[in-house]
Amino acid sequence: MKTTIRRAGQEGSILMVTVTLSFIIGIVLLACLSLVKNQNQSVARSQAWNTCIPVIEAGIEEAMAHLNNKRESSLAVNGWTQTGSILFRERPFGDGFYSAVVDMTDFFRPTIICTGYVRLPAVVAMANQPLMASAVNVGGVSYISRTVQVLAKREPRWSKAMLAKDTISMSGNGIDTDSFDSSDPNYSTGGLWDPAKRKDNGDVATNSGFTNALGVGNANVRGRISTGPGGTVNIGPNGVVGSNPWHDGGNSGIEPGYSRDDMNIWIPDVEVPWTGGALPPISGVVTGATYTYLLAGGNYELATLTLKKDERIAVTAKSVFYVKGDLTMLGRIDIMPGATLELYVGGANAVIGGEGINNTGQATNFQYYGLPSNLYLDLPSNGDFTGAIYAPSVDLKLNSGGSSTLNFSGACVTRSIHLTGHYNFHYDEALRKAGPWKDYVIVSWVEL
Amino acid sequence: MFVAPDSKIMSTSPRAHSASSGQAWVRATERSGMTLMELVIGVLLTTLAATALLILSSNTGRCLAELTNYVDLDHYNRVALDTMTRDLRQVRYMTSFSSNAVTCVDKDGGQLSYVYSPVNRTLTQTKGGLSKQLLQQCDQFNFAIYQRTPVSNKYSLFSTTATNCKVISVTWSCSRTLFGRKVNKEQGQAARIVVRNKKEI
Repeated sequence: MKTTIRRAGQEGSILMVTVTLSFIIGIVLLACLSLVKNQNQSVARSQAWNTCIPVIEAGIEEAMAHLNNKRESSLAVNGWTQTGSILFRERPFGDGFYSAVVDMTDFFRPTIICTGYVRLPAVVAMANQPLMASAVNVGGVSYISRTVQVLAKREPRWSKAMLAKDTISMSGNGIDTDSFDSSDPNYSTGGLWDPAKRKDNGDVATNSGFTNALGVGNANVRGRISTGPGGTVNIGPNGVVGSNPWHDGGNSGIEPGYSRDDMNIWIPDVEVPWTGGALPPISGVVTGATYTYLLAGGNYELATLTLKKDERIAVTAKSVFYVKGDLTMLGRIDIMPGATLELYVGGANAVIGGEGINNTGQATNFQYYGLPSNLYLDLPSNGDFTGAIYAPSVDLKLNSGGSSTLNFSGACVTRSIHLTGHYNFHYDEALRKAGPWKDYVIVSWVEL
Repeated sequence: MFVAPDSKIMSTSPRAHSASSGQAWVRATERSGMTLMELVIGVLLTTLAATALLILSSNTGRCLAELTNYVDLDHYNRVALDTMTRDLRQVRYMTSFSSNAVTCVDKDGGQLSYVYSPVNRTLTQTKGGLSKQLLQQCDQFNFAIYQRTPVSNKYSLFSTTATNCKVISVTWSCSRTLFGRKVNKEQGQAARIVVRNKKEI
C-alpha cells in the first residue's frame, strides 16, 4: 500500500522563494532600466544642448553675411524685416530653428543676438527633470534653446602702419616707425606728424609664416610686430621694437608682449572702380600754373600714364583716377587743399618718382589702389609721402636714396614691403577712424 | 496528520486503515526516511542551487554597481565637458597656462580658472572666488593650447603661448572603483575649444 502525503507547507516555501527571487530580480532589473533611462536622457539632453551652438552660429553667419552684403541697397531684404534700427530674421534649421536680431543703433558696432532652438528629444521631454538648459515651449513644441550675443565692428582698411601678405624687410639703420593722429591735436600739430606728440602704434605685420618673414633689422619700431603662424622675426643688434617708454628707456630688442606670430588677416583684392568707362583728364590752369592734367572732381581714366619730369597733375576736388595700364611718374601730383585723389592702377608696373605726391592734406587725401594685376610699386621719391597705399598684389619698394631722411605719413597694405635707406614711417591713426572700411568682423562672443 | 512520539505516523486516510487491517499506524521507514545517498545528493543539490543563486546575486549586484559607476562617470564627464566648452568658448583671453591648469579673463572681466590636482585626482573650476569640483577620481588630465590658424594641409594646429592662445585642447580619463578595484575606466575624453572672442590690444 502506498500512502500519499500532501506537503502543502513545503510547496508554499517554494512559492515564497520564487516570489522573493522574482522580486529581487525585478528590483535589480528596474534599477538597471532606470539607470539606462537616465543615461539615455542625459546623452539626449547633452546632444540637443550642444546642437544649439551650430544652429546659433548659423544664424550669426547669416546675420554677418547680410551685413556684409554690398549688392543690396536695403537691409530689409532676403527675408529680413527691419523696424527702425532693428533687423530680424527667423529660419528653420534642421529639427529646430534660429531667430537672429541685429541692432544697428551703432552702425559701426552692430550687436547680433541669436537664439537657437533645437527640438527637445521625446525621451527628455517626458523626463520632467531639471536640465542644464531649460526647455521652452514654442507653438506647442518643446525646445532646448541657447542664446548668444556677438558684437561686430567694421575693420578699417588700414589698421596698421605696414601690413603685407608676404615678407617685410627693413634694411639700414635709419628706419623708424611710429604713429600719430592727424584728426587729434593732442597727437598731431596742424594735422601733421609731430615728434613731440608721437604715439607708439606704428605696427608692422605680415601674414607670412616663413622664416624671417619680418626683417626688422636695425629699425626702430614704435609699435607691435606680428607674423603669421610659424613665422619668425629677424632683428639686428640695434633693432628696437616696443612702446615709447621702451624706446625712450634706451632698451634694445623686442619688448615682451610686442611680438606675436598669429597674424591671419584677410586682405581682399581691389575691384575696378567702374566698368562703364570715364573721360580722360585734360590740361588746365590752377592759380596761374598750367597743369598737364587737371582733375577737378569726378571720375577719370587713361590707358597708361607717363608723366615726364616737368609735367604736373592738379587735383582740385574729390577725384577718382583710373590708370588701366602702367604708371610712370617722374613729375608731380599736386593735391590742393580740400581735394582728394583715389588713384587706381591696373598695370603691372607703377613708379611714383620725381617730386612725388604733393599732398597738402592728410593721408586720407591720397589713396593708391593697386588692382590684382598691379604687381610692382616703386617709390624712389626724393620727397616726403603722405597717403595710403592699398595694393594686395604689389611688391612695394621704398628707397629714400642718399643720406636724407624721408617721411612716409599714412599706411600701406601690400603683398611685400622692402624699405631701404632712411625712412621714417608715421602711421596716421585717423585712417582707423575715417575709413574706408572693410567688412564687419566679430569682436566679442557671449552666451546669455 | 500528526506525528506520533514513537516516530510512527498516524494517518487518517481510509486506505491506510484498510491496508493495515484496521490499525491506524503506518511505519515511517516506508516513506519519510532518507538514506545516506539521498541525503548526500540532497545536500549536493542544495549546495549547487545555493551557489548558483549566490553567484547570480553577486554578479547581478556587481553588474548593477558597475552600471551605476559608469552612469556616474559618464554624467560627470559630460557635465564637465559641457561646462568647460560653454565657459572657455567665451573667455576674453588666457593669462596663464600649464598642462594642469589654465587661467583666463572671463567674459565679465573676472578670472576663471580650471585646475587639475594629480594628488586629489580632481578638476576644479574657480570663478569669482567660488570653487566647484567638476571631475572626481580623474586619473589623467592635460591641457594644451594652440593658435586658431590651421597648419596647411593638416588637421593639426600651431602650439602657442598663453598670450596668443585661441584653441584650448583638453584630454582626460577618469575611473571608478568597486571594492577597492578600478572597474570602470574611460578610455579618454577629448575636446578642442575655440575661444570665440577676439583679443583686442
